[in-house]
Amino acid sequence: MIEYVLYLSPLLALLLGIFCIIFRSDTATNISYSFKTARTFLFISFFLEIVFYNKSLIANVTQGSPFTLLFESSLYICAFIVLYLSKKWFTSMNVAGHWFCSCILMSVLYGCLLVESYNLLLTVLMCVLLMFNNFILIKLFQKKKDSSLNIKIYMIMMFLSWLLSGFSLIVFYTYSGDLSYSALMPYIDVNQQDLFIFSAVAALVCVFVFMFGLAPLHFWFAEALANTILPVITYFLLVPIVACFGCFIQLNLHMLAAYQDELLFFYKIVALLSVGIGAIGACSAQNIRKTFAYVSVYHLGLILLALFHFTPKTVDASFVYLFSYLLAITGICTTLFGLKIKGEYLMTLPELSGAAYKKPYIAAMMAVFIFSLSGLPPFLGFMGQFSVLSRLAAYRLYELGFVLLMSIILTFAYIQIIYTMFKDNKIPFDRADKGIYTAMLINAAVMLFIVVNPQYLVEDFVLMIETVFK
Amino acid sequence: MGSLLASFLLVPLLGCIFVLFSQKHKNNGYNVALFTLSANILLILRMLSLCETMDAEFLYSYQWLTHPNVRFILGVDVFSLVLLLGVYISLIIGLTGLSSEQRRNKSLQILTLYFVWNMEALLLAKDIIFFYIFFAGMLLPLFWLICLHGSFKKISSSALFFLFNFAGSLLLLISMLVVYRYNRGSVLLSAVGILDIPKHAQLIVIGGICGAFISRIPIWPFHNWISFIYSDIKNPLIYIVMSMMPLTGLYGFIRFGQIMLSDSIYTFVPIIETFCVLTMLFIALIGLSHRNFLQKLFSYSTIYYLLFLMSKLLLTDKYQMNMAYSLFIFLIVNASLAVLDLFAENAREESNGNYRGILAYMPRLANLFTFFVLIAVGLPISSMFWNNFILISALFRESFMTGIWVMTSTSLIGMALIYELYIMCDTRLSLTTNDTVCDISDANLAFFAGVTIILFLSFFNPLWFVF
Repeated sequence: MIEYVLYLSPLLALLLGIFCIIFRSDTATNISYSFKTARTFLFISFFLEIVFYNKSLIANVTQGSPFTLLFESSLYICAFIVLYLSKKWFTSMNVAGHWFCSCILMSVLYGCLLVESYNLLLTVLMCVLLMFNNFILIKLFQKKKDSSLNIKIYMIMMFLSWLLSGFSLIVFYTYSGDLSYSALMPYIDVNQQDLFIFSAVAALVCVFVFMFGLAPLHFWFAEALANTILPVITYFLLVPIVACFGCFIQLNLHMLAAYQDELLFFYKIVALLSVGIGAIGACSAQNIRKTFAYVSVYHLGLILLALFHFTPKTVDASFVYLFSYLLAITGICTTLFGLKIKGEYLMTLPELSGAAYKKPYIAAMMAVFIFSLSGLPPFLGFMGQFSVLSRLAAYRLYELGFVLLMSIILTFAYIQIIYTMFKDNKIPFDRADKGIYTAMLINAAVMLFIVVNPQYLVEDFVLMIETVFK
Repeated sequence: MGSLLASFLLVPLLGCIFVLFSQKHKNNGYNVALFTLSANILLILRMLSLCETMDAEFLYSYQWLTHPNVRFILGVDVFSLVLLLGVYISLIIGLTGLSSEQRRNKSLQILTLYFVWNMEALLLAKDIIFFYIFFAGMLLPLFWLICLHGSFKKISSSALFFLFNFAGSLLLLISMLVVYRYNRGSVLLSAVGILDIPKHAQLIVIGGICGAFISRIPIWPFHNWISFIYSDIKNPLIYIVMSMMPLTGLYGFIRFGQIMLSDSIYTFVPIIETFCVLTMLFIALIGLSHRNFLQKLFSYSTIYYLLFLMSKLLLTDKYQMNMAYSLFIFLIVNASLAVLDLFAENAREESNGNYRGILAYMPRLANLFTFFVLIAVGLPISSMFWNNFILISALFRESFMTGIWVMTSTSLIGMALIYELYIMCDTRLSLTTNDTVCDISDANLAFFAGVTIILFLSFFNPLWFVF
């Protein structure tokens, strides 16, 4: 019994954290309490997760490995960053953060189970719960009052995804009777020609496309992020992506391998569409948050494109890219937390005017992170770009050409942002918190360290990634 | 030698850090930048003295990644050392031209040192990945320099400049990736053209390389972005830094020398040659029509870069050292003229007088200006005369028509510079009141006199200060 409790302790710690936050909501006015509690329990859970990373309660439901540990660690770190930065926002706006903190802890819980999941029922359940958790965040923290249409769109899409995942679950259960990946994979292999099976697989993949916010199901992502608060955007750009990416790789390798050829064509279309729409959308958006939502669509599209054939090398390459993307986007979010005018965080691109003169260090760091995202050497983004594009250059020169063309278009969007920072503006920016500068410096130091010593990322992390193939 | 190379590469970065932590509103940053550049000049001289023959080459490698096997290979020979020396001396010249306010600007010094670091690494790079990193990486300091120290009008043009050059560097990235596809790991620059790869891949590699390097050289019809950036630059250091951009493209062509041996290059050479000749004539005529010395200087530098490019494309490696000596003098002359023109411009603004005839009231500046213009147009007072003579006569031998056009263009731009000098010296055209114009300081005179001595003695032996 004690053994089970220990194995479940990381998740129990998270649940306990949520319990402490919610049931002491009378202290909601004390914003720092919620964030401190959330961070403490997150840390405890992270520690326990590292200790019991390869232990699972039921062998066919969850499975821990260095691969899952790597993604779970990324998830915890991303959640920690979100909580650290968001506290500044909630304190500055004097808004109670208990719901936000609970949702973040909840999403880490769902995310961990999603990454470790080895059973379709658990995967679908966690997907459904994660989507609902995201919905709560969007619903609770909409910035504009007239954005109910976006919420409705997200809600409809969420219900559709639930239906699709439910359909997939029913089909697999009816036909196979066992929902563990290990049982489903040989079954799918034998019944490849079955239309129902194929439909169920397609439905399942569509759910992930929706959760990643990839084209053509990207519209909710950009619109929802455009009208929500900065902490929620930071959350959306970091946490669900890591969780879904880990689960997506497991699902494709351990369950959907038989449909690889059919799915690869579908992934290619989705990825190229996302790259194109992401680049063009980022250029046309006037809302900074929307711009970065499209930037995310572009980068996720590229990651999906790099996952071609799900071989160890392609998975490694896409992880290196994901890592460099996460660091750069974290840096950008941090700089956005440091830019305020009269107590209000920036929403539109013209509001950035004059940042280069009024907040030179933040503007310079923002430019560094943006250039890293664009893959300009010697920043870390170049390593990600190199690892992915070298994969594309190996077999697919036309796609490489398309991606490079889109990267020029996307760079135009980046340059627009930097160009706006240099425009003259008389309105002064508010004083930025010292924590923002610290976070920026740490982020830059990590990037610099990995650029100088890339073997940690390209060799050591990759060894952990490759355990998923064993 | 390896440790010497590594420390040579680290000095500008250390300089950046020291400038970053130097006191605000003081000249400390400027002094650190000056010291950094001077220290590296000493290291270059030391390395040159270690080269016993012209073919001597020193290599140093650093294992960046084991899987894939990526080694950063640094290498230095007399050719790259001469170019580096030219770059460093011209940047010191640029630093002397800064106003007291500009000298206190830390970001200017940091970005200049960061640019120098990129430039240095590019000139030392021996493998394609390392070369690409610094070829693309130098866009960042340039972009920031224009954004931070140019007018707002410049910022929009610098955005276009960045995009254009970024697209150019992506072409090199494609080439690099295709090379990487067939040869996992580091590939030496000199080996790129002779790799055993399929014909279509070779065409992509060479096309990408040519496209990337041409994007750096203001060849018609892509010359607009750079000429727009050049117009109205008030800061001599930025002008000098900007004028080194074409050098990176030219250097790329020189270092990827072996691509000239592959068959695929014959698809591109006639096209590049035609565009070069057209651009030279076009820019020379534009240079004649300009009423601004800096614009004329820009036209002059473009024409000479194109001359060097054609020399590389059409002539054999036998002429490589002639190009190096000529480029060395060219870089220094270009930088000196930019700074001297700024001195004249400042004097005009202070005296509230006219640009025409301004030198008539500044005898020291007039003497220096005349000396540098005469070197620039190719008179026999520096090694540029000998080396350009050899290059142009070789071009005549290679293709008589090309030689004619090259000669015409260089003559036209030489005329343009001399005419501008005449306007600036002619007292009849002057409206300036002579009692309010002050000449250059003793320190500046001494510094530029030193530069003239280096240039003049190079007429007898280009590297007289080493060998």
